[in-house]
Amino acid sequence: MLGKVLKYDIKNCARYFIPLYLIFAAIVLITKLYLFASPESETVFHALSGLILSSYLFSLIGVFLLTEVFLVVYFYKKCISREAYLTFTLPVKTGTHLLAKCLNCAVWHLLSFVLLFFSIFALFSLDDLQVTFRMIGLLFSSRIPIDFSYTVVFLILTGIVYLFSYSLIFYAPMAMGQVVTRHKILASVGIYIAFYIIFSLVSSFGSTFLLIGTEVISHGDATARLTVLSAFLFFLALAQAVLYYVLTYFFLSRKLNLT
Amino acid sequence: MNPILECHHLTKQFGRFTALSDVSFSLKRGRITGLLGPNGSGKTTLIKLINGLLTPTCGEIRIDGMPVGPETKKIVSYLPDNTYLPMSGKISDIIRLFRDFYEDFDENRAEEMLQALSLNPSFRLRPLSKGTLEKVQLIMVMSRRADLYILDEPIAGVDPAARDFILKTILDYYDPQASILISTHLIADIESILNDVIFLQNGRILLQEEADEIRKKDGKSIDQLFREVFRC
Repeated sequence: MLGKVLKYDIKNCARYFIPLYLIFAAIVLITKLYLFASPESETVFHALSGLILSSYLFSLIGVFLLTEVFLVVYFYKKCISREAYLTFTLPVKTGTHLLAKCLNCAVWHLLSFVLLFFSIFALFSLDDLQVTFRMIGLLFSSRIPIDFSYTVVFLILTGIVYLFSYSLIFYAPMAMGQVVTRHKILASVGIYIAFYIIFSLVSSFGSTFLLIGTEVISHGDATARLTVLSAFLFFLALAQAVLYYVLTYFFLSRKLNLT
Repeated sequence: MNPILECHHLTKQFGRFTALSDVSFSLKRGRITGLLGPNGSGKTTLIKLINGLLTPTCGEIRIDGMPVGPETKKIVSYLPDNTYLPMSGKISDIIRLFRDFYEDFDENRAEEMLQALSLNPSFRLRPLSKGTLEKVQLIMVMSRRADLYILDEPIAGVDPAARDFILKTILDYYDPQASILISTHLIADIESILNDVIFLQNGRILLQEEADEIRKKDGKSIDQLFREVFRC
C-alpha cells in the first residue's frame, strides 16, 4: 500500500512541481545565454547582468519557498480538508499515509537541491567553481586550524533528516489544530508559533551551554567546538523530526476530527 | 450470522456540544436501513464515526466484528454528503484510484453506469455540475462489491429525475447479500426501499424498527410517522 499511496502523492505533486521546475530551468537558460552572449566591453550589458543574476537568485529562493508551500497545501488538502474524506476512507493505515507524505517531501526536497546544483554548474564554469572553493578553504585554514570532517558528516546527516522531515514542522501543527472544533487554521498557526519558539530557545540555549562547556573542557579547541555544535544540531533535528512525526501520527490516527 | 454493524454506547462531543449520546444499535446483514432524522440530529456524525473520519468520545463500533480501521474500510463503501473527489483530475483518474485501492471495485460496472449517463471517463471533474459530480461519486461507490454501503444524504440537493436515477442505481447494483445504511430527511422518496428504520433526534435513537412493522402497527407510512414524531 505504501508504494501505491506514494505513487499517487508524487503524481499529484508533479502537476505543480514540473511546471515550476521548467520555469526555473528556463530562467537559468536565459541567464546562461545572457552571460554567454554579453560582450565584455559593453557597460549596459554589465549593468543588466546584475539584474539578470538577481532574477536567477530570486527564482532560486522562489523554488525552495514554493516547494514548501506546495507540500504544506498538499498535506492540508489530502489530510485535513475535503479530500481527507477520500484519504481516510481508503483501506490504508494512517502510518502508511504519513510515511508516504514524508517520502514524497524527501523526493521534492531532493529535486529542489538537484535543481540548485544543476543551475550552479550550468551558470558557472568548473574552473570558476574550483577557484571559489579553493579560496574559501584557504580563508578558513589560514586563520584557524580546524578539522571539518566530523562537522561535515553531522551537517550531511542533518540535511538528510531535514530532507524527510522538514515539512513535519508544518504537518504536526495542522494535525493538532484539526482537533479543535472552530478556528482550526488559527489553532494550527498558534501551535506552529509555540513550537517554533520552544525549539528556537532549546537550540539557542543548548548551543550556548555546549559551546561554553566545550571551550572549558577542550581549552579553546575550535574543532571540538564546531564538532559538538554540529552534533547538537543534528540530534536536535532528529529529536524534532521524531516528535513531530509521533504527534502528527497520533492526532491523525487517534484524534481525527474531519468536520 | 453476526450483525454487519454494531454500535455500543456511542457518544460524540464537540467541546460542550453533544452530537451523539449513548447510541447503541446493530444492523442485520442483507437489509436496507434508513437512518432518518431532521437536520442536526446526528446522522452525519454517526456515519463519520462508522467510517473512521471522527473519533468517538466514548463507546465502540464494530463492523463485521472488527474495530474501525483499514480492514473495515475494505468492506465498507461510503458516499459522503459532499464531494470528496480531487477536482483537478478526470473521471478516469478516479476509476484508476478506486481500482488500485479497492480489491472489490468492478471497473466494468463503473464504465457501464458512466456510459448510461453519457459520461466519458476522459471528462475533467472540475467543469461538471454538482449533480453530475454526485452521480459520479455514487457510481464509484456502487461499483464496489462491498458488504456494507453507507450513503449519507444521497438524494439531497438533486432534482427529482436525478433522485430516481440514484435510487434505481442503488437498487440495481447493490449485492442483495450486502447491507445498506441510507441517511436522509427526504423520507417519501426512499420509503419504499427500506427494510428497517432508525429515527435519530438530538443525538439519540428514538426508534429502531422494521419498516413493515411500523406501517402495520401505526397504520401510517414512515413519512407520516416521521412528520408526526419530528413536528416542529
